[in-house]
Amino acid sequence: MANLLVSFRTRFSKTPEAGASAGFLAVFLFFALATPNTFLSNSAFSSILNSQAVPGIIAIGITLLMISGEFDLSVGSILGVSSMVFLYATVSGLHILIAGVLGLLAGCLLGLLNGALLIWTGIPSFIVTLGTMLVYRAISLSANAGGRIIRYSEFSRESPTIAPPTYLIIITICLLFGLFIWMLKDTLSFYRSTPKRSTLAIVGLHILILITLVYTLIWALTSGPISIDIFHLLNGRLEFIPGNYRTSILWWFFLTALFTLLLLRTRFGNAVFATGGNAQAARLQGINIDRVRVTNFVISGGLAAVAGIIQTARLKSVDPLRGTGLELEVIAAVVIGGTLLTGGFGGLIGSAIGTALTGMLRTGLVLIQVPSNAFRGAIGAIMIIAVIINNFVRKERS
Amino acid sequence: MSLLQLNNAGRRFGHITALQDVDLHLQAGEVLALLGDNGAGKSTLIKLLTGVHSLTSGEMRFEDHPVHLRSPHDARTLGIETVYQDLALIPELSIARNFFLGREMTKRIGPFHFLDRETMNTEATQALHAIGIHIRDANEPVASLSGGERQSIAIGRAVHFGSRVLILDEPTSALSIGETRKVLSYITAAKEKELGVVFITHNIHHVFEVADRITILHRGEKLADFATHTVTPDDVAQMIMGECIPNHLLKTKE
Repeated sequence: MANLLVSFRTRFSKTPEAGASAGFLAVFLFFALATPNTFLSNSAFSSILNSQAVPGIIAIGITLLMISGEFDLSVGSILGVSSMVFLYATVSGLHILIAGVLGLLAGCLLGLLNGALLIWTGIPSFIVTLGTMLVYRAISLSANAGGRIIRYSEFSRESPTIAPPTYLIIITICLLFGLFIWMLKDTLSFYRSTPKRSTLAIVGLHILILITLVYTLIWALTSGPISIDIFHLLNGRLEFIPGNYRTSILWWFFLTALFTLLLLRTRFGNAVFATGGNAQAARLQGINIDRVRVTNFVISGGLAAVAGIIQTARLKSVDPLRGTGLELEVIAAVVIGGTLLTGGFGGLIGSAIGTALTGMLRTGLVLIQVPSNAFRGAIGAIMIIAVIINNFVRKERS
Repeated sequence: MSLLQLNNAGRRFGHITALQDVDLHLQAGEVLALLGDNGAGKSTLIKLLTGVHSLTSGEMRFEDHPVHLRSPHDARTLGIETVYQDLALIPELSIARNFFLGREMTKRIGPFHFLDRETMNTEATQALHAIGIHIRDANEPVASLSGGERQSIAIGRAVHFGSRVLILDEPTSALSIGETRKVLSYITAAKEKELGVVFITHNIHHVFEVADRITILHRGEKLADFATHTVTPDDVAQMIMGECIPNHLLKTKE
């Protein structure tokens, strides 16, 4: 048992999120002891997680970019433009799904432009995205020259809904079920050949997916005409949990899990680490490092757009300064999470913990009655401390 | 039939001519030593053969067919593997991931392809073991290895994947005497497997141990090309430093 604990400790200390986890626990304990009644409550936890879902989703793209050795300061401005495209398209009478696709495309396009500028000019991404941060902000400022807040409620009283016919839902579920069976075949043959410790988790996951599919099928067959409130789906209250938790938290966790899979278990993820770790060596081993970088910029822009759309679904409004200053908070969170600014090392779990930590600071400082103006200072101090700890942990293991 | 051949190959960088009118040929099962002082153009020549740079004049032929290498990826596709001077390893990635970098093995789950880490770990361990390199754990990051261990990983990788040509750019520079012996034995083993080997070094004694032929570069041009048994180490040293071919060799040349 003691042996197992030691082996866990040495293995854990090698992961990028080790420092962030320790910091998270320390800050958590501090606030829990300082204001146990208010901090240890459902309303505090939900407010932390709800406020951090948007920066958390952006942090995913920033982390991928930073691991590949690049930087994106323009994500706050991209969020501003995509939110505006999404809301303008919605209130102009376009279908809500088309509006969503347009918002997402805007983000990907601006990300692509960042990447293309980097490749064509060879200017460091810090400078490129500092420039595009200002340019992209100018887009939302000029598109809404009056600077006033555009509200969805001024155009419609009804929440945007989609009402897919029941047969479409059933076909979708059948297709998903087919995919499930297809993947099950490969997973089974793989697990038969290599016995594993994590078999139980895999089996549990499969049962969970199966139950969800069957449940959705029964629900679709029995509930009559179906209408889905898109704003609610993106960022509404989670009714089945007490407290004010929102669906955006689920999207944040889901996207973090999805991109962790991409980063750690695919060839692309390996190329991302290689590009940031030693770009020249990666190129010599046949990796197209330019393509890796541009792809990451597109992912970063796309995720900023997703975050913007999810935020808009809750605020139901957009103003030209939406997302200003967000990039620095996100970069701080990613650095706290253990990802190296110089590239080649880092992880998305760490970034999620770092983002949660910054949110905890914001709420906790208010609860112990520190003036809210001190929040940014606290983030800065924590970031510097985190980098010192992370450097120390890295030295220890090598 | 030549395995790899350069005819009048040249490379310019702006106004600077790094390499000019170089002829080079390599047979299967032959070890060619590439010698020259610093700045003679060895590195540029290697970069032409590995697709890092393209030729600005002349042509390159692979198995008697003209080829244009546009990237290192193209060279690898032809079966040309290289051990670079700086090893081309990623410090934070594991041994196995470095070993398979750029050609990772995947397993298919439904429509998705995921890294097959178990197979890569065992295959990397076995492949390195087969040529006498023993590693503790293929999951260990390369950053935790010593200089010599890193060099053996880079060499092991090239030996394992190089199916036609193996290029070694000063592979023994960071190695102990024992490790150097091992590297020289890999070269002999590759030669026996009918690979063509290009071996760049500053150590003339290593050349005489393994090389069949010696090509000497000087200031971006080919100075001399001899079968190893026709020259002495002193002749070679003189040619590298003295910039001219000793008189007693002029008759035997060509």
